[in-house]
Amino acid sequence: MYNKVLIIDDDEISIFLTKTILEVAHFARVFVGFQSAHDALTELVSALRNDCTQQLPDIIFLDLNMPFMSGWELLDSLLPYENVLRNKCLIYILTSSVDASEIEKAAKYKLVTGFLQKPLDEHAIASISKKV
Amino acid sequence: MSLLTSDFYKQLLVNSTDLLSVIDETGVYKFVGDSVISILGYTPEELVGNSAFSYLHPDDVPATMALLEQASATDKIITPPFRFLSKHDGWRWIECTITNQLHNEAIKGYITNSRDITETLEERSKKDLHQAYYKSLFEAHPDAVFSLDKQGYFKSLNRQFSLILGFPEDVLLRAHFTEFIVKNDLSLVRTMFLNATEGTAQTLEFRVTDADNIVKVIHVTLLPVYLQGSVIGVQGIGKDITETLFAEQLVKERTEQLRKILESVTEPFIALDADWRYTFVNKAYCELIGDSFDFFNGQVIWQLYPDLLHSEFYQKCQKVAETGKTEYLEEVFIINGLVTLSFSIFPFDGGIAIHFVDVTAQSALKREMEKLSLVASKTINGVVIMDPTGKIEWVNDGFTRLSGYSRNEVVGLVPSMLLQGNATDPETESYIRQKYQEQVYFNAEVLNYRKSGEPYWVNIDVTPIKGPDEKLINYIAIQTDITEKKKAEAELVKLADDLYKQNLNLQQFTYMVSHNLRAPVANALGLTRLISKIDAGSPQFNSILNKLETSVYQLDTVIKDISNILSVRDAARTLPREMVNILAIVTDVLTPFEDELTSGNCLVTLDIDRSFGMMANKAYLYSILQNLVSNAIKYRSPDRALTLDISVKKDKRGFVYTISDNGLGMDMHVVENQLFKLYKRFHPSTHGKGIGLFLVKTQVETIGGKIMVDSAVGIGTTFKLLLGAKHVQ
Repeated sequence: MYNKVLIIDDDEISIFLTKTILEVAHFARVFVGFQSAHDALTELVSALRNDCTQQLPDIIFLDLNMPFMSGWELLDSLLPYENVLRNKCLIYILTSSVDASEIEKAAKYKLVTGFLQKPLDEHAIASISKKV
Repeated sequence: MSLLTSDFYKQLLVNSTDLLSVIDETGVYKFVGDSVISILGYTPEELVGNSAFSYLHPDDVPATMALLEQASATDKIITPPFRFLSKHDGWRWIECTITNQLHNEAIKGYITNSRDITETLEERSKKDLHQAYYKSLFEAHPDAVFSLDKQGYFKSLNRQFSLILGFPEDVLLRAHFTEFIVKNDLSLVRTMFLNATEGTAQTLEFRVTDADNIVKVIHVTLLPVYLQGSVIGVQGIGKDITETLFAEQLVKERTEQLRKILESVTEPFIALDADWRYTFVNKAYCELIGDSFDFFNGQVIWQLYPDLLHSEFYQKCQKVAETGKTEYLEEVFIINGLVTLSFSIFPFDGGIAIHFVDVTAQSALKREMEKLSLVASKTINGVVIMDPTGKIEWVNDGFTRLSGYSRNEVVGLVPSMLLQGNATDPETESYIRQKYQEQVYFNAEVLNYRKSGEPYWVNIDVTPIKGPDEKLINYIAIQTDITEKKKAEAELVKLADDLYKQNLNLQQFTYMVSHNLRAPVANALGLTRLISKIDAGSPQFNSILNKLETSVYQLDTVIKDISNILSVRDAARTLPREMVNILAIVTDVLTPFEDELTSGNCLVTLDIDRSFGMMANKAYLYSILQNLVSNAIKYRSPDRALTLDISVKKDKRGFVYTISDNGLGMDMHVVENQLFKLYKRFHPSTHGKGIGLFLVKTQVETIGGKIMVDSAVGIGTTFKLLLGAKHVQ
């Protein structure tokens, strides 16, 4: 079981759904949802800067299509911390519509571990669950 | 004498051939001798007592009377012959000797001794006539006439003869004929002379030397002169034929010269007589037809070539023969293939002469030139011929049609200076200038201006024409009107651009729609699956149900949005338009917001001329303005009362709407490319679907307008709407 999961999605229902599914599946102990990518970035960067890596989540579920700051923009903003983050947390893109070009684009980001489609199903959860 | 008897006298008087009579002073016969009977037929008694004058011819009376008066003063007078009427024999010529015996008492009158001299007179007159004829023949003969004695000395000669030789008559009369003969001809002439003396007449042409040592050619006939059966001399008649000979020679030479000229003329030449028979053909003609002069000589051309009877050539020949006037024609014949012959047919004394030239090549060239000139002048393209300095020498009708300038107006001008104007691309202009300087071919598309000032696009092909020495002779420019093509091109570019934008919009639309459709579907799907794993009646269960409902509503909203957007897009073509008063519609838009604006102490300023009206779809214009006003209210700053300024200005292209607020504002760097896109939201604190501005943009574009935005965070946002010229009434 993971300790902390971050869900970044502008859609409140989507956060609720992801969180509930994962709770039901006993995926992690703590779930934190961000409707604003910008707010999530602020939190992450603050933890990285203060070297409080223990505050970093184990897993981030990131939506791509968001106003003001999209998932891609968030990823770009995290590039300076790539090395630290890669050892510390796995980032999964979780999006409602899967576009082949987006999968390709995601593959170029070393920070991105996988590409998942909403809603999360048992198979997907099983494949990423921390083997106890 | 006195011893003789009176009978003796009487007999003497009767038988005398003379007529003896006595007349008184007035001419009355006193005595008439008996011989009168035999001489005049009268008896002496018939005459005595009558006046002698009454028998005289009236013409002779006055002269004879006058003589008789003279006779009174002299002894003796002889009258000239006069006519006396005889009794039986008409007028007789009488000669009379009048002896004055008035003082002789025995006679007391004139003794007239008359003789009939009629026969003698006639004889004499005949002799005179012969003499006159001979004299006239000899003296007045236009030819030289002369006679020689048997030895060859001149006995007589006429004036013409001495004129020919130039010596006076007396010199010649002492001379021998051989003195004047040119040595080489001498023996010949001598032989002729001897022949003549022997009785043979002969004609010869020989040369003589005249007094001025000039050699002359004379034509002489020598005739023997007979007297009583033997030749007593030679008579000659001659003519100076030097001039004639010279002229003949000249004519001969000229003829020969002419023949040689005609012969040497490289173009065929023939002469026909009045009966259309060949009298001359030159070498060129023989070579062309392939026969010799002997073949043609004397042949009738129309019999030799019956086909010609149907030719125009035949008609013209007939015309020349009739009118005596020269004719020209060109006609095509088949002689070793098709040839065009150019004929000159001219009359001369006794026939016609025909000269012709094979102009097949020239006429082909001429036809080609005619065609070329036709092409140049009639082509719809403009053709301009310039001198080496680039000044116009000639333009065709096409140019005149294209440019509106007449030929006279443009000759001497430089086309680019005349035709190019403000909007002509300077780069093209300098390219054209450069190519003219380099004197090389070039092609360019250039914007020209007509005389009327109207712009038009032409494609110009400019070719420098150089002589064999590479020296520039002319420029030829061909202008093709490509205005339509340019328009089409521009339309194509715009179309491609529109299509590209449309495509991009569509892509984005598709993407956004799929994403926004998929999002609530994914949620609903996830929630539905989850619900089976959650105990009914637990707080989580109810929450899930609520979320599920919300998701389905969201789905419904998205579908409605899409339907809405699609309907706006589809309406583009069929949208009804009406006259809309701008101030009125803005007021209508503001009315529903009145309470909200009043309660928020908002300040709304309108700057719109109440006369402004435009053709537009009222519903769309309303929706656009409503969205913008709604946004201004929705995103107003919580820190200050909203100020909303709406102004409408008219400019050249149409109307400019400005909707300006002092609300939250946006960071232009962030929103610039996203603002009008579907499902984009830029105000996290306020609830928006992200469809409003997308719809506004779609509607503005649908009614042919344009929307622009300027904004600054914390200061406010200004939207500018440009609604096109076609809406201006």
